[in-house]
Amino acid sequence: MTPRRFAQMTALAVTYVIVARAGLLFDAESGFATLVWPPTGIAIAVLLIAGRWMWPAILIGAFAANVWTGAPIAVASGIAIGNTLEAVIAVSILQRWPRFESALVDVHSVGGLVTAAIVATTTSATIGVTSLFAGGVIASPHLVETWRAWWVGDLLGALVVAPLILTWRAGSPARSLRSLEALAAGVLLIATSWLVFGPTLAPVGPFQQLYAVIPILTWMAIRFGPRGAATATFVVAVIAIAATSFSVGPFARETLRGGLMALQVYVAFIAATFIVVAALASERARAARDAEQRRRELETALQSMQVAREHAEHASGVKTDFLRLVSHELRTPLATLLLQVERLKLEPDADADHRKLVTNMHAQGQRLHHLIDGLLDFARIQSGRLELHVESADPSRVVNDCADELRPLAEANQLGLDLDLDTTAAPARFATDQRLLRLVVINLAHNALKFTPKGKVTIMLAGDARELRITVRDTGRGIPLADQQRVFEPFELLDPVRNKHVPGVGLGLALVHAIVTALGGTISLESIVDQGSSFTVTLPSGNDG
Amino acid sequence: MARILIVEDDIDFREHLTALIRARGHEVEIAADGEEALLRLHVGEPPSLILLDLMMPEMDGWTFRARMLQEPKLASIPIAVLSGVGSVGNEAEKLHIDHYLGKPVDLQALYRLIERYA
Repeated sequence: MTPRRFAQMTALAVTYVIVARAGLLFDAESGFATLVWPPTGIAIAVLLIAGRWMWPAILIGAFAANVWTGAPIAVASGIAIGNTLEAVIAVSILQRWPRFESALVDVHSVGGLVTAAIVATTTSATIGVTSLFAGGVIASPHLVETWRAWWVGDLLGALVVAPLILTWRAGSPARSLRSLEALAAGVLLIATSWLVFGPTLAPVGPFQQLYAVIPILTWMAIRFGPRGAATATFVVAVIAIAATSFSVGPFARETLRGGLMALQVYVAFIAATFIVVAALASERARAARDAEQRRRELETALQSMQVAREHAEHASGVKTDFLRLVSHELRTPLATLLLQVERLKLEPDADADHRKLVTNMHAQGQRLHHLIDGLLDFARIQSGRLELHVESADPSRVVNDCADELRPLAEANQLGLDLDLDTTAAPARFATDQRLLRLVVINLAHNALKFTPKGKVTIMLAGDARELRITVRDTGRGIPLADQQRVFEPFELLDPVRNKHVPGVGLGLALVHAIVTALGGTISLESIVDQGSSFTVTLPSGNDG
Repeated sequence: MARILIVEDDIDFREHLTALIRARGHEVEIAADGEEALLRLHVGEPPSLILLDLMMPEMDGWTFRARMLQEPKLASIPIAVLSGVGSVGNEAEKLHIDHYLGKPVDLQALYRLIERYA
């Protein structure tokens, strides 16, 4: 045993002896069964806090106190064993009581304490009284009242003193704001207790009633929790016992033990009631705190979700913005350049060479324009961000505009550019994205003009109420059957050696294919080497937009 | 003859566009951003048509259009988006603007549009 443990056990044993001796002074039944027995509460609380290994201190303390009071060694031994078992049984029950909290902050834990107190004190009273009877200290006619006094005294110790120690030790946060209120409640409680239990004042006022302390106890239990209830009960008990021992107050009887019996039953009810009230108040306060904490947690979670969402939205927005920014930054200077070319066209004094240069500049600029549009659209399609702008379009107008734009290139390459518009069955208007449709036709025709050494390129329009077909046919070199599947792959330049003089990035047909698909259509290719190729775009025309 | 208000931050672009439109016999005024355009719209005769760029420093085209729609007097002025943003048609639709032109500008389409409001 460590010196520290030895000191603790000695302190407990000495305390036990002193308090027990004090308790035995209160007119104990048969000299040993006192109605005031705080040692039970002290023993239970200390063993619960420090551990059951402290039990020998109880045994020694109880033995010494009883020998001191005049019990024969054998009787004192029996009583000491009973008292020790009392504390050990109570602590064993409490340690096995599920979710028992020694701060007594919930009804469940209070239930544990009451149960343990009843079982343990019954054991102690039975062993103690049996020891007295067996040792010849008491005769059988006194068995019942001795047992009753023993049991009530021990029970009160367990219900009043143990909670006092346990709740004060549990330590709740100091509430300075409440100290004034606590002081007021304490003063009021002491004054009321004095009025109720003290010397009878003349005339007997309406306050001298046992119920007068109840509102104050309720107040303290609710406002100060288990500690408030335990302390208040203890104060009431001390004042009442003191008054009763001086034979004053409502519990003054012919014998002290008679008065104490009535008083202790009253105190037992007070103690049991208000320890439960306090536990309920604590539970409510804890529930409110939990709810508040959960609310805060939810709030935090919600905020972090919002931030995460904003972050995600921002991240996805950055991609869109990047494309949008690139689009803007590439197009703006090109747009300015093309406006300048347009202004050069207006020059009245220009000669033929000048005009040819300007026309060429314009054609190259337009090409760059379509290339940029194509690349951006391709990037959008690839990232799933292509936004269609569907509106009512006139297919003949689209084809005509494209032809107008490509005519300079056709002339430069000395190729014919014919239109074959069969508008008899085709709808005059249909719903599509005009810009993208233009891009498709321009790309196909531009390719045709690039890969046709001589002859002509024909853009045909045909269709009916169900579908619209735009065909771009050339008289060029044609595409070998083996390559026909590859032409729609991105960056696939067919026969780069043979076609090295033909500029291009190889994106045209891949883009066309992707756009036509996005527009809900299909594209097909017919080609015979050295005779020419024919691309046909088929779009649904049912909806006239 | 139409009175055109060009709202555009790019100095070169708006200079050449102004020259081309004037060459066709129309009047052109310039605002460098939405703020300037609003100031202009609050004094004098309303223009026949506003050509609105979207991506501008200070007050951009989206904000300008929102502010315009808040004022019944301004809300009815004809307007066309003229922007290099990707899906200019969709942007115009979101802004409740019927006309739109991409950059580079299809000048023939622009001239046709201006003639409608001349």
